[in-house]
Amino acid sequence: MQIYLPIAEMAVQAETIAFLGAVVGVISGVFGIGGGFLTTPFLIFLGIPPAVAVGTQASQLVASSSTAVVGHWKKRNIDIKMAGVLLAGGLIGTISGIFIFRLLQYLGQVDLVISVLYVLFLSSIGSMMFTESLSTLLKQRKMRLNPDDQPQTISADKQTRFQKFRDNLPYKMNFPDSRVSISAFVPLGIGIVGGLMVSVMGIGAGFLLVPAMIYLLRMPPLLVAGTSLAQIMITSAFACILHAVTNQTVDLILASILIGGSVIGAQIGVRLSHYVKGAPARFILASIIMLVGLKLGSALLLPPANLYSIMVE
Amino acid sequence: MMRFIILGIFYFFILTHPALADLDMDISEPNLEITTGFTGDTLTVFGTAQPKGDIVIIVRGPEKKTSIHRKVNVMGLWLTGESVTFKNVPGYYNVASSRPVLQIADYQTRYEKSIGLNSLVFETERKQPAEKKGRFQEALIQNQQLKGLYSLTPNAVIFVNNTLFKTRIYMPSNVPIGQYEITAFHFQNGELIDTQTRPFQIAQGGLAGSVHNYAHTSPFLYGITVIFIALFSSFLAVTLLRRE
Repeated sequence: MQIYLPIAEMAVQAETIAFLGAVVGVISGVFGIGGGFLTTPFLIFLGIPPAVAVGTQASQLVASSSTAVVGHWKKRNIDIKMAGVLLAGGLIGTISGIFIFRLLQYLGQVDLVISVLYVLFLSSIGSMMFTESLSTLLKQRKMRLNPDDQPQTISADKQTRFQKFRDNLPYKMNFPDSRVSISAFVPLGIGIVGGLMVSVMGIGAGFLLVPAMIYLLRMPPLLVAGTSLAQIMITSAFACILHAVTNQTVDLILASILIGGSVIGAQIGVRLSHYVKGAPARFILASIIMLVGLKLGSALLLPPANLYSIMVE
Repeated sequence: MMRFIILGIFYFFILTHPALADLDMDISEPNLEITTGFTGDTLTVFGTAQPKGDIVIIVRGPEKKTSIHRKVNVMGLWLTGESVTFKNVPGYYNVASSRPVLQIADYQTRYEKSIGLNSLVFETERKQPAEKKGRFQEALIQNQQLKGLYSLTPNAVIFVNNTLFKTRIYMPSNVPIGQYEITAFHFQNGELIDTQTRPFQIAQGGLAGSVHNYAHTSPFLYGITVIFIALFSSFLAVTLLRRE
């Protein structure tokens, strides 16, 4: 069924959008991620203007993270003080991101910058996750064969230059829930990067936030999931409202179809997640990420079908 | 239904008063409303011309500042390169004529009245070399044609009898909203003898119109509404589909 999108000002096949939402929902349910890295490029691929794709996608991130946030909240798995500092950064990042987006639009470089950022982001995260999960899988297999081999523990804390730099930053704050004391600039910086990614690329950047919170903030993993999701949910909601206010690029009809598909898909995904876990799950996710990265990368390398692109003000 | 009644009345009117005017023209619908189910629409433009002669109908959409960018290959990567910004590009431009426009009017007239895709005059925002401007203008027109927004159809205007003509104008689903202008040109032996112009409005209506309006009049509340829909549907799905 063709349906007219009032903000994108074009008609799309409603089933295609709902199906895209459902696939992203299943993936987010299985792997506990937002799935923005899949939605935004596909919406653009379907001919939705990039600004509308990114602005609308933010609302889908709110939907896909909200129920998990409630669950973590009930179990007290959220470091509220840390989330507050991350959010402050998230808001700064979102506002700057929206300015950057407008500037890129003015320069006619939005499509290019979005695809380059996606290719860099997806290929680096994808390949890291791919090698990590593959080596874990191989190790597990080896362990099963020779149960006496102990897995090597990571070498003791060596003070790297980066750690020194981080620990010498001013404005140290205490985060009692996470039992860490760290300069406020570190979570603020992580928040800014997260906000930039939500508003420019339409992704929650959980891929980036989670390891950053574990390795840079040294937060306990239990609190990382809840805190990062809370940060993503509120930053995305803020980005969505800001896109709506400054550019009027949030399409309510598109959002409804996308979210409708994704919340149902997520419930299927959660059920599937009991069967796919740990290293094999990360291996599958890494393969999906690399495939999307390759698809976008090939668009940069292959001669385009149409050399020209048009932008109406 | 309404349009057939109007059409019927009009046909009756013109058939019974064939000698009223040299050129008269009207549209099947005074305006087009784009609703959620909109997938494109066809407009009928009809009228009378006496003596028969040649008819050119031009439908022109609102003019907007439009940039066109060209991709270039830099070290194996396709990047966005040079661009030209035109100040007055109609979002929609459709020429329907009773014969190919080249046979109807001379270059001078076509150019003055912007009849035909090659006669459109676009002004650049900044001064550009003529060669570059021409290249980009041609690419812009080709791209608009690909999107179905520009078209040139010779022999699309049909004379039903000696005085009555009609043509169908297709509006694709991506047709821009705004104020349009429909002009009928009446030519006789290569000479323009009469012109008629009608305004035409394309606006969003129904649910699509309400959403569009809401997004532009109270954008903050609109954003909140979208977030609310996101939260509501996600909790609804969890509640309904929860497994015991």
